Amino acid sequence: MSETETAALTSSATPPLAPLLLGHPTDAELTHQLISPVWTPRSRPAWLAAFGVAALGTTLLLYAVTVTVWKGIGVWGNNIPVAWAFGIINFVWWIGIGHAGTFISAILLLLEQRWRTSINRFTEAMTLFAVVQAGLFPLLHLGRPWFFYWLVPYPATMQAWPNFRSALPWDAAAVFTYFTVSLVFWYLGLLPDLAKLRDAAPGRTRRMIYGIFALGFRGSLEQHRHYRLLYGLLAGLATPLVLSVHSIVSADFAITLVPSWHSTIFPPFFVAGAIFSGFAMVVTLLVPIRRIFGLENVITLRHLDNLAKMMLVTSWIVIYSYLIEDFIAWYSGSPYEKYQFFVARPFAPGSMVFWTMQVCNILVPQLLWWRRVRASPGLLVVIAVLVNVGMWSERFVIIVLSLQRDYLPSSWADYAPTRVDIALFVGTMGFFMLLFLAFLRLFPFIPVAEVAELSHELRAEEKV
Amino acid sequence: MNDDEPFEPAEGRPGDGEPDGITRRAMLELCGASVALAAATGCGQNKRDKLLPYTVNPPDLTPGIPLRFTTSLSLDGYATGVLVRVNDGRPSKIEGNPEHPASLGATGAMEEASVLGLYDPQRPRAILHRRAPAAWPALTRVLGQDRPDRGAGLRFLLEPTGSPLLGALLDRVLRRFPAARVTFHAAARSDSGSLGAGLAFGRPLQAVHDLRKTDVILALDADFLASGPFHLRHAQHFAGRRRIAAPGAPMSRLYVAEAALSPTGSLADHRLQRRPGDVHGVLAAVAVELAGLPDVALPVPKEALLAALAPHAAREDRPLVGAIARDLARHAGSASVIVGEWQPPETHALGHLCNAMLRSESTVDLLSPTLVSLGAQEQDLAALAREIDAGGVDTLVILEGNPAYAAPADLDLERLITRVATSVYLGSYDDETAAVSQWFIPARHPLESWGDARAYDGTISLIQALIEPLHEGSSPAEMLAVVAGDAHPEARLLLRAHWQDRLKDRDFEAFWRDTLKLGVVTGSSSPAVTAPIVPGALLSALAAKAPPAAGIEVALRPDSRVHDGRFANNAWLQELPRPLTKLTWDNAALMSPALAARLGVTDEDRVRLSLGGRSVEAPALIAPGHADEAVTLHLGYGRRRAEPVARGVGFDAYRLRTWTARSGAVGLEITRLGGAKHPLARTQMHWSTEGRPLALRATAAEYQKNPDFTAEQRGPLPSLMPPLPGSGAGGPPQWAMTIDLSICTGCGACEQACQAENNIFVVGKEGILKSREMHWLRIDTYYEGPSEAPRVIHEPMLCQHCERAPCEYVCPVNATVHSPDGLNEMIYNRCVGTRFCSNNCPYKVRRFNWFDWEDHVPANQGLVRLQRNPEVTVRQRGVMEKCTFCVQRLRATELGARIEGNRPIREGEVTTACAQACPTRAIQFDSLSNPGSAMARWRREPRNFAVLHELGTQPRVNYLARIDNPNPEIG
Repeated sequence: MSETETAALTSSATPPLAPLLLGHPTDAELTHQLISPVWTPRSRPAWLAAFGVAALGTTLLLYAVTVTVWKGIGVWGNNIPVAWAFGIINFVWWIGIGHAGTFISAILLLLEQRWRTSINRFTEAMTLFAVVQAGLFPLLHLGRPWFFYWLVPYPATMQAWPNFRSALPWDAAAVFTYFTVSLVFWYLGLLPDLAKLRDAAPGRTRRMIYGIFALGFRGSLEQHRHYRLLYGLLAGLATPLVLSVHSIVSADFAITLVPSWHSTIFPPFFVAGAIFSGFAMVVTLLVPIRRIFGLENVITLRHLDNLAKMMLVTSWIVIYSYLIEDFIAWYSGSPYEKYQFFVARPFAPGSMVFWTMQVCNILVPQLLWWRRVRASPGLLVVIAVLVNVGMWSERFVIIVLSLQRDYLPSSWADYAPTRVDIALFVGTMGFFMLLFLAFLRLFPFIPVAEVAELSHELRAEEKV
Repeated sequence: MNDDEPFEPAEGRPGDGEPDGITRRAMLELCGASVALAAATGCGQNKRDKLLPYTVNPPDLTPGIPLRFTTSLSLDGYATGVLVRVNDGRPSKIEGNPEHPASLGATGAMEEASVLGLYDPQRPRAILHRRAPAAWPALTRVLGQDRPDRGAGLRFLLEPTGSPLLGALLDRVLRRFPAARVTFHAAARSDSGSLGAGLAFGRPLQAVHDLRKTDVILALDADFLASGPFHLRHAQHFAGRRRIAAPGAPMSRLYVAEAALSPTGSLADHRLQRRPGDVHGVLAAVAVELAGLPDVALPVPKEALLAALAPHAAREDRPLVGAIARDLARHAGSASVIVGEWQPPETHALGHLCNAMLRSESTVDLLSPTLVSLGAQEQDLAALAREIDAGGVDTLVILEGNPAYAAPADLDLERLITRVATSVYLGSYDDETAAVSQWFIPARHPLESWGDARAYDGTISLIQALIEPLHEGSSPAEMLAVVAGDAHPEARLLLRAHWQDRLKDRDFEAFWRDTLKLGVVTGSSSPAVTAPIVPGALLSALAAKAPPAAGIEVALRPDSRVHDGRFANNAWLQELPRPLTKLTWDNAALMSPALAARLGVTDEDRVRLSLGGRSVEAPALIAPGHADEAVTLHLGYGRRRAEPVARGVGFDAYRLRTWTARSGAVGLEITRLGGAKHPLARTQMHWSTEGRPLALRATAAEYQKNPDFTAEQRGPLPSLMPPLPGSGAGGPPQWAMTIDLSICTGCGACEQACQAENNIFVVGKEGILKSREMHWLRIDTYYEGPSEAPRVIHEPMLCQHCERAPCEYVCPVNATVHSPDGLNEMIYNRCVGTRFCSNNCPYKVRRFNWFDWEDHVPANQGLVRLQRNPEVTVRQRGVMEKCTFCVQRLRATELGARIEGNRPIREGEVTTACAQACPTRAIQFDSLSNPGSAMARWRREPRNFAVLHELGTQPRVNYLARIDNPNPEIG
């Protein structure tokens, strides 16, 4: 069902949805509006302050990384039985966030969802930067990180190969592939705008730099044809990756014997959760930026409404998975599964996190049933932040609470994070923000060419 | 095992003969020898015995191939014979000596850990006089000088000893100084046993229980399976009677009355929780019931006995004690009563009486005391303290024992020692006593000393030095010889001279060689004597004993790890979980759940314990199964002037100990202190199986009725994976282990042996608090039933070497793989440390190197590196490790078999360190290709099961369900 049809259906009962583009800007106006932040960033002191905070966070990250590599994983709170904790939680959380970008740019492109146009660049960048954060953790998490490449199949002189029965080499491959394709896809999408930047750049240096990165894109019809073809092909390539990455990440858990991990529902459950948290992060970032940069005409309430609906849908897939997990635990008759789901999670140490997850992932998204909530950017940000808290809690519950209470009660032990654990997590947020701010500063974060194209299409439709 | 040549310095070896003419080669050899000799002379003091390097290799010595030598380790006067593995001159592992009656091939945790003490970097290295370095000759001048007073002001304080050499030296000393007096004192021994025997038999005989023939045992506050002089022997013999080989087969029965759960109590069929003071009442009630049975021969007048016991017996429940008494009487001749070290003499005497009633001639041997006693020239510690206080002592020679710390608090020896004009202390550490003594001489470690010792049954064994002393020091024998007049005594020469003298015409060199090789002097055990009960003194003592007072009783007991405090600086023992509480790096006030609830105290709360005007602060620890109205405190902690490892560990329970109440007293007051809790580092926090079929058990009757009660936890399971190679008889080895839960006492000797064999680092209290202990083998202890009277089961848990190992398929880099002979192997240098394997190990037996433990924990640094087993990789930071089934031993055995014509490995040819140490032989290891081995026979028993069998991991470690044998008469 296309957007217009949806709009037509709903229009009879409720006021019509906001359009995808407000007003009728000319190409020149649009280009000026969307490119100008690159040359003249608004609110310079505030921007510097934000950049300073991000840089501080990045420094914290560097410190925590140094301590971890210098002294060993012992500076974290991990123990036996909880051999995985913050490191893997943060990895899965960041990777999950990284799912929205490719989903929006590739899947929605293939489904011809026009509302993706204004936000795809932005979400792709978010994906890339989230995957960068995510990629740090499996590395740091190794006891001997300097041998990380042993997980990669390379022709070693000792002829030792990775163990392909384990999920981890696949995991490394999946994350790396995902990062590479996302980077190429993002860069490809950026080409026409890089060309625009080159053409509009005020100085020679910038013109040269943007010129190099624009790879000679001139905007000719021939180039455009090839460009569209390649973009479509890459979208087709990226689409299965959205599903594969988190499916393989979920295999890190699903292939084990650990009660509550040993489950076939994990791949779809993880993918849904990833998209859920990814959209939440898009909303979290989009709303303030839309306001700061005065982009209400390009990123309309319609976009926010669609994002909110996606959150609602994925939240229900997640809720359904929770129910199935509980049912299977009961149906399996396994005392270990039953203990994990009905005793350990609700009542054992750390159960507060479990209840946080219940509230944030199950109850809070239900507010999105109301259109008025969906139309309120402020409320949407609050909900999105809570959803991401909930999704982080979900990974904590799956990883830590399961490991805390597995088979032999004699080896049960509780987990508590250390300052280094927290510093690493906060530090990656700082680093993410740093990359994101730099991106906002250096590139048009709304694809100028595509929005202009959309504007033409919309005008053509109006005339009809 | 012990077919190696005795260790001797190279004198008399080939190469020592007079050269006829000096060749160039011989000249070079001599030059080399002189250089080495010059270097060696720099190390020792007053050394006249020369150690020369080998110029021609002795036939048995190949660099890299370890040798084993016999020696003995003594604790409070009683020896345990051991074999010491020596790797290229470094003692590295203690193993049991099968020929020695106190070992029978097994070792306890303390013996295993004593090798670490040898290399303790904190051992003192110099003689001190008034805290300044001093020289040995100055000391010998002080000690060896003539005294005009015939020794009237000269006092010796030493630990009890059975050593014939020390006995002879003391005789020499007392001949020179007849007015001198000697005090034997050990903080962790009581004299109630000999006093009790004195009451019963009129002389201080020693009771030695022969559990090979005992079917019913009543143990009264007696942890005879895990502590005390003959516990390794007791454990093995008890297990022989206890292990039920088939449903319906006979097995022994054990009744225990005690306060805190002990390893022995955890195996009991019926356990009576009693304050230590109430234990006498149990025995009295049993004795009354026994006396009333028709065919019991009573050696004392019945009426008088009943009258004497009535006030005590009345407190017990008649049907219960009646059933115990009838059970004992039914097995008269194969039943015995064992009374614990810390029970009063009257209880010991009554125990002897009960044993007499039970016709225990064949189960209890009575021996003349095996410790050195000096009659009138001996005085007790209190008398010594009084004399010092009165100013009658001018020279006090303290030979080991740290009395300033470990003597009863009311004697205040720490202050008194400073009042002695000349105080000389030979001690293992620069400790509390060293601080108040004028002279301090570092004591040699047993592994660098020469001497002799006696076991509990009198068997004599030699103590053989296995390494050149690491530091300057001396030994009790040398110190006594100095006092006796020798200017330059040398323990080895003293020992040889003593035995040469003693053997007279026998071929001394042959004796010396054979004894060092065997580890014991054959036929030297004391003969049993027959002694009738002497009714008079016994009855009056029993009648005079007052019934116990009401109130909270405190029980002061030596610790199962640091003993009286002597092992406090041994990081292995500090970190070895105490049986039943799994506490490490601390001691605590153990109390029952009911008492804790009454006091409003929970685990780790700080409490003040006051007794007779003295008080200490301690963390509380709720101990399931502890007697109500009683608190157990372990001695040996809270050292005031401690070495770095022992510093700040625990609280000092000696502060509550008085001379007359060394085992404890009634009247303890407990106040809960506010403020922060005292974190206690325990290796297990959850004690229930949560109803999971993890540690199976049944009674003997149930087992007979339903032998297949473990059927659901064993047998083949469907699998999608390819079938495994078979393990037919006589084929290539397929290693496996079987553990019988019926006879596991949870003592921890296996865990300690594993640590010593496999270079396992300690992680310190911080590490334990973070659940990062590195022990490859742990003992899971589960409590079932009400916490006031729980049923306990111990389950040693180590890598199960699963045939379908969950850890293997998840390792991304193939660092853990399966060997063709059935081992789950860990390849350290391939491991990148994802810890995926640990997550997927349902047994949680994998251990991770969270840090470079050597760098991170000071206790792993310094000289202790010399202890390490060169056959085992020291693991670096960031890699996973776990039990290897002692693969280094398997591979060495395989190599040997291959060299000998590629023969198959024989049954029992190789075993793991844990199985080797186990006092009850509960762990059996062998290849499945040897179907006649105990390991293979055991797993054919119907009660065989696999932990978490339903997961389909097919573990190579199987368990035999625990069988208890409760008395059907007791509900």
